[in-house]
Amino acid sequence: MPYPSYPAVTTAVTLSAIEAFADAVGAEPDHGVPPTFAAVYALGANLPQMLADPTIGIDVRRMLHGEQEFIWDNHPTVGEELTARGQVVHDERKGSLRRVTLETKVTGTDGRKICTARSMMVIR
Amino acid sequence: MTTLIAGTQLPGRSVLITKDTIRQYASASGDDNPIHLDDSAAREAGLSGIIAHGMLSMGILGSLVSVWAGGSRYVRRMDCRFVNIVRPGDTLTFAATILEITAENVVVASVSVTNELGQPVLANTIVEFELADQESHTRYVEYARLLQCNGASQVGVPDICPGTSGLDMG
Repeated sequence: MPYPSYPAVTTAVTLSAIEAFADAVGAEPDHGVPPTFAAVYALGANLPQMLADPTIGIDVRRMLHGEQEFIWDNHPTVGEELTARGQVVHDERKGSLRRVTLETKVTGTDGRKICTARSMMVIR
Repeated sequence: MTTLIAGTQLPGRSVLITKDTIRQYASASGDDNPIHLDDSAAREAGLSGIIAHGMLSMGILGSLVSVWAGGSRYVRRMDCRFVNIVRPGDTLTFAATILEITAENVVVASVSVTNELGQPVLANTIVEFELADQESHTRYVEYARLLQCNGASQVGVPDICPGTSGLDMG
């Protein structure tokens, strides 16, 4: 059975969200959209879809973030509307641990490539 | 040039993580899982109390990479494993070493992120950022040269090292 993929989710990049995020991670205010704001526009968009998917069946209370990779083609700009499409790309069980990887591809205005995010979750 | 630069340390940073830091990140990121906010919920999940988001450690690293790169827009890749829990009161120390500068003018660096006991918090951490122009490249080469002449200790961000091009390497 193929791994599930999820409907696109859009997120608007607002100045107030960027400022709050930059402050929370100690970013310089003039350095632009903090790179890991992708936690909001990629993970924040698609992870809840995977966690709500009964065919994947993850108990969030037993889940830990195992690995994270972001690759950027471009960084978003304030005011840009982003579209994130997520799909499960890996799911394996070894012993008592299960590892599930969600891949998210994010595009911006006119479909320009923004980011690919791979999030590996460990379920105990 | 690459030979000179490989092994150069980038300016690091130490950051104290508090309950406030964690609460602020939960609010800004929208990740309000109770294990980050509520001690009793964290204990029910088998922890001794609330823990920080892994993405908070990676987020602080992102801010540092943006400093090295001279702006977030130059950051090309970040990759890490989360290997230890971070609790309020922990101090994270970020240290980085340049592995190479590619033909495309991308700096590849390996980063160590440890807690105050010296235990790794992030592992297999690789970051990549583009050098905006030839001037940035020259700045990095000069920075590497200055470090070598100073016995390889950190001296600050690359752009505060003007006038080092005349250093005698003899």
